Amino acid sequence: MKKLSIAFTILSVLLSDIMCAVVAYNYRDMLCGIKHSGYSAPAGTALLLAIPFIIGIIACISCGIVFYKKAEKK
Amino acid sequence: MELSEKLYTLRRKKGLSQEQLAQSLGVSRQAISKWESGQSLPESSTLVVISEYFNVSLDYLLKSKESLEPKVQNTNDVKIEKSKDKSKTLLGVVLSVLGSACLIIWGLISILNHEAANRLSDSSTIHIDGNGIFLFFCVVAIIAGAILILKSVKNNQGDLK
Repeated sequence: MKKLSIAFTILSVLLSDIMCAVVAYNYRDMLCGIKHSGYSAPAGTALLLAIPFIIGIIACISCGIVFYKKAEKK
Repeated sequence: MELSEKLYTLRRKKGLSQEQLAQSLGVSRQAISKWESGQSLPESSTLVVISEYFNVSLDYLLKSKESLEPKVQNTNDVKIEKSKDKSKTLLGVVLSVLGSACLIIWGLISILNHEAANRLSDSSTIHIDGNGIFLFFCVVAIIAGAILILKSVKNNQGDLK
């Protein structure tokens, strides 16, 4: 159980790292697109990409907490 | 089945006569006969000797078969429920880890090879916010996995209480 909680914690950290990278990359891409290619959407739409990652992070953290508590009880 | 019938069955199974059993237990043949006919009951100390001699529990000798059966069924039910909870937890872990791994891989591909990520999105027939249904499936897998894990853990806590 403790190993599972550690695995889920690592997953949530990884997800948050990738989320930051993906949002930053797409935000920069949007800014360039607005400047040079005439994108009509605001650069802030890149933040929408964070939604699935945030859901994943929340799910992983809650699973990690549950497994940690279960391991402590045992 | 009552005690008298059980004693008779156990004796017959061992292939003993009333005389032989009486000698082994250190009682009279008449006592065995009375126990088997249900006219009298053996003393508690003799019951212990009988249970040890036939290698059966006191529960088996004293309790009726009906009162023993539900307990066996209950333990079987608990075992089945526990195995179900375990498989649910396993499925939940697999789903959420798979979903998270797919999200991470998609994120890495979209940064390192933007074209490939676009092609992945384009290959999907359904699009949400300009992205393919792939991301949606990842999120659904993670949520379903988390729900399965939380449910099975709640069931376990309920059993412990």
